[in-house]
Amino acid sequence: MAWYEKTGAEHEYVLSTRVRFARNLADYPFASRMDKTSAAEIVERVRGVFPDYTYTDLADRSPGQARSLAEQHLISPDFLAVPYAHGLLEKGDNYIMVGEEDHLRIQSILSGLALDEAYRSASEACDVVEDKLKIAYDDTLGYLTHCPTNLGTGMRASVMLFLPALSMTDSMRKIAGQLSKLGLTIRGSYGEGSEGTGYLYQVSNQVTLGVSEEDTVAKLAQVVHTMIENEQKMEKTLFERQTDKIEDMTGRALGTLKYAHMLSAAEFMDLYGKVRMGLNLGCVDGVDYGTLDRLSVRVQPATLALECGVSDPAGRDKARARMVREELEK
Amino acid sequence: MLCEKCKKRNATVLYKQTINGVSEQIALCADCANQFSFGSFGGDFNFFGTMFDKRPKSAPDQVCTLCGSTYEQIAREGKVGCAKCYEIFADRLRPSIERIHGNSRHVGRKPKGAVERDQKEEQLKALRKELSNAVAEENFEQAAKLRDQIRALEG
Repeated sequence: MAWYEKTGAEHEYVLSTRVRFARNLADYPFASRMDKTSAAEIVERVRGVFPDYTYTDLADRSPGQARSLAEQHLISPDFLAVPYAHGLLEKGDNYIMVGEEDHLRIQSILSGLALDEAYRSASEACDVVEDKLKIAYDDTLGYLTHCPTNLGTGMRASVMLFLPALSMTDSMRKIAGQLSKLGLTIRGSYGEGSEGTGYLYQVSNQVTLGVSEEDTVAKLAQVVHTMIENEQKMEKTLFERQTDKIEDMTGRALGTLKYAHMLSAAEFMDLYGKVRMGLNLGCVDGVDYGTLDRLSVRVQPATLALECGVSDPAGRDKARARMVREELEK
Repeated sequence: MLCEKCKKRNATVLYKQTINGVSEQIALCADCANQFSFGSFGGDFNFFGTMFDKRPKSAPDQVCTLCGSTYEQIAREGKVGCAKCYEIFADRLRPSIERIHGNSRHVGRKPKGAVERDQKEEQLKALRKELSNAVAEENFEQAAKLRDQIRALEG
């Protein structure tokens, strides 16, 4: 089961936790100098290291199937455009992209807040690779990566946070400034450049050189807890000051989700965020976090098209509204 | 003056950047300047690319023996060609790496091979010290033993 099909710790504010390591094989060129033969060899060698993982060859998949994996946050959007052999190895909560910007992107993705567990699980997969393959490493620069921004640990730890009240009160810009001073960064839930749809944000470490993995994870955990506390306080303050308005907003949002016959993905995400905030404040009922979070992935365009077999935008909006109505009626 | 990017509209903004004390400036129209400030300067603008030191230093035509990259290519793309490039172009990459991370020395996990190598080096260092002490004390029997141990470790 993927992260969005389960409910984890601090699920009111944390959707998922991811820890990923960038690793490269020492004797092969990096992505920008890659050739088809080397790429195919890398895939073969890495698959050989993980015989117990299932492998999905992305070149074999339809564009829709591949895009759906990105919508589930299991692969990066950049992974869709790779012109040579590349694929995804999966086992439990571990997902390894082979042939992304770095030869290996070893990720562990868990529901809710689970930084230590995600770190442990991804590290174990790193041990397996480092045991069997010669990995690009330098005593001074650490793990060598295609982009110098990942040098050192090659680790990116990130937490997907739900921050409706902080967003509504325009606090995000200030928070982003403070985080950057701590070597952390915040962005929209679909990676670089994406807006904060559904009030979802990813907070992650920016610096990878000169800071150990454990210190990075500990600092991120501390910051995430502080952000959760601030969000809780802000939700409470907002609710106390504008009870009628918030009850109306969250109630209307749930009403629309329950009875609409046409829903775009953007409208769904907006309503989803409002209803989810209503759940945090206890002012909506008849719906739970798990159902909402599962829907937030299932209604994304490519994932929805795969499940319902509808690919034109109008048909999709109708199918999306039907899926949401049916789920909320259960 | 025409915008140096689109070469269509009049330039109204002078964009200036200083890297390692070398200043470059570019005259832009309002539209292009707007794009510039968001870091999406057409397809050929790369934020980290601008962070690389572009001044030619020694061996300007040096080519990586593993992947064939030149330093100019790396600076332009903002991405390094392979592990070997980090070795070959080490001196020229270092300032940009320090700018990105504020640090230049890795701490944290190491591959098992590197850990074993470090342990071996520590051991060798200790043995060499013992050896020089033994020689100083004219304890040649002990010195011979230590020398054999060092040779064995060095493989």
